[in-house]
Amino acid sequence: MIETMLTRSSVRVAIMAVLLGIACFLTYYCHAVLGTGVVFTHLFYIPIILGALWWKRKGLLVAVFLAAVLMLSHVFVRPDVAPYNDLYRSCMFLVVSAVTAMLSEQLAKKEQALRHARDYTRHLLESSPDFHIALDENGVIMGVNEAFEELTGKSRKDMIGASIYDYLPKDPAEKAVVEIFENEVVRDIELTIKTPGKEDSICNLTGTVFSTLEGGPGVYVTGRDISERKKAEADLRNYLQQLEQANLRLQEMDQLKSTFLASMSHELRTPLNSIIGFTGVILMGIAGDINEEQRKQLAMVKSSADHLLSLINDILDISKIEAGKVELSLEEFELVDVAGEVVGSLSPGAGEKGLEVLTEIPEGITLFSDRRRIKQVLMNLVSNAVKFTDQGYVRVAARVSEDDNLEVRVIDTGVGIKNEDMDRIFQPFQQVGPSLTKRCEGTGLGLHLTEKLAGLLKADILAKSEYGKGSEFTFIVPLRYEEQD
Amino acid sequence: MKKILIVEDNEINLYLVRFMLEREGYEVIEARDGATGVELAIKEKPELVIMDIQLPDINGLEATRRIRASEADGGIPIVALTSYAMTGDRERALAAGCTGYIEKPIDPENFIAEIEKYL
Repeated sequence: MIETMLTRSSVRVAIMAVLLGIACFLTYYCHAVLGTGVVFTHLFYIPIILGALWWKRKGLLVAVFLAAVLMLSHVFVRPDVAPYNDLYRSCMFLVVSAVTAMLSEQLAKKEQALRHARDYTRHLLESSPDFHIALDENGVIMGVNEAFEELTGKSRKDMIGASIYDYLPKDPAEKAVVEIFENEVVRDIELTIKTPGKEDSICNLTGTVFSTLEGGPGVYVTGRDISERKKAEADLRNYLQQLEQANLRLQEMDQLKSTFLASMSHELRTPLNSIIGFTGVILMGIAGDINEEQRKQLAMVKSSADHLLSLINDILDISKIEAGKVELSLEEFELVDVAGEVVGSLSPGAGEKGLEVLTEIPEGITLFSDRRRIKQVLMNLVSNAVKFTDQGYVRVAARVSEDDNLEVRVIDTGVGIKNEDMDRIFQPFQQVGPSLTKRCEGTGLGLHLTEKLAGLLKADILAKSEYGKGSEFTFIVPLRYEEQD
Repeated sequence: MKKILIVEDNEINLYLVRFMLEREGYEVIEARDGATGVELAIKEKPELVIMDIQLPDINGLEATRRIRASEADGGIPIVALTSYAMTGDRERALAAGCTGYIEKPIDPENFIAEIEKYL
């Protein structure tokens, strides 16, 4: 690039020099020797104008330089004549060359801008992923871009001059063209374009009216291949439909599960209710006297039945929480009342084991939550503490934290939990006791359910323990249960 | 002697409740389905109705509504027997017009005391 500019520039200098030489020679030599008039002086115009054209802004300098050459040559060649005439002409040259230089520069600029605009437009058109087609009023293709070539698989040479109806379905395309002429702009025309060797492409087109170079009306069409989008849309619709069906089936199954749970609960409980009821009645002696051994054995029956019932209740609770079937019944209540009920019902059992249940529950802590569930959690935590503690005490302490949470700590001096067992305590049927043979009475679901209940109440349960020394469970629950979170 | 109507389809539970009530000297009449329960509640005018929720024909809630809707209803206490697992049973029972509820399984030690609260 630079090389060609250099050579082009030196060729120009050479031409200028030669022309200048000829002008000098003809002007002064011929004048002196042949006695011809000043007509040849005009020959200086040529290199001056050429110089101005070639070097544009620098043309003025070139003209000044040439005028100086002219004056000098004049002094050397014809010292006898005062150079006024030539001086006057030189000024003329200067003006002419200056104007020429300006005009040519403007012209060049315009040309450059035009070229730039043309290149830009072409670049835009050719790099566009959308295709562009220019048609005359009869539907003859006047121009296309690369995207259309790609779509049809034909070169523009083959397509220009051909009818667009070779590529578009004739009836709808003709209708579209008529519509475009009527409305000037028509968007979202959907047509199938025949693409030999490939599947037909569904295209989305926009047509506008424009006037051709010859002044006739033409149609400018831009468009894109939307086959893939169409296919994706169809796939999506299919998929959604399948999802909906699957969802329906799931709902049906969920319904079945709920019905099953409800009836199972009823069926399992009904006989259990009788067992618990009658053993209770007999143990109370209402049905007549029983001896000590009978009482002892019946008490075992009763305790097993109670255990079975709590197992069923826990399983049902867990299933319902997992199925999202639990509706909280929110109300305002005092912690002191709930904690009192819990401790009150567990204290006798603890007393039998020689344990003391200590409470540090400040008055005036009001909760807005599900009373029954909160009680269930506390009941589980405290009864666990009692269950796993053989001597010492169980302490229940409550306080309100700074971020408006209630924190209830249940601390015991029981067997504690080994570090390696810590992860398992919230899993179902994972009672971790001192040994298998000394397993404590329980469903093995207590903590699992407790954790699930806590989740339901937007609460947390933290556990820490030192093996052999005791455990501490902390129940952290918002003072006010907020529906939306 | 105070008259108590038990509406309960389960024979054994019926026996248990009847046994405990009769021991305490109440006169017990019984219905094994909702429709009979409604009929007896209106005709016999018992002092109290113990109403199971799950019954073979119309459920206890509907039976309660019918008793409440009848002209003979003189604010007779109706105690629902609700099931622990069915959350919402208690609320629905109260909404249907029951005076109170006793949760199953029945605890014989407290049953009479519970019942007497409503008499």
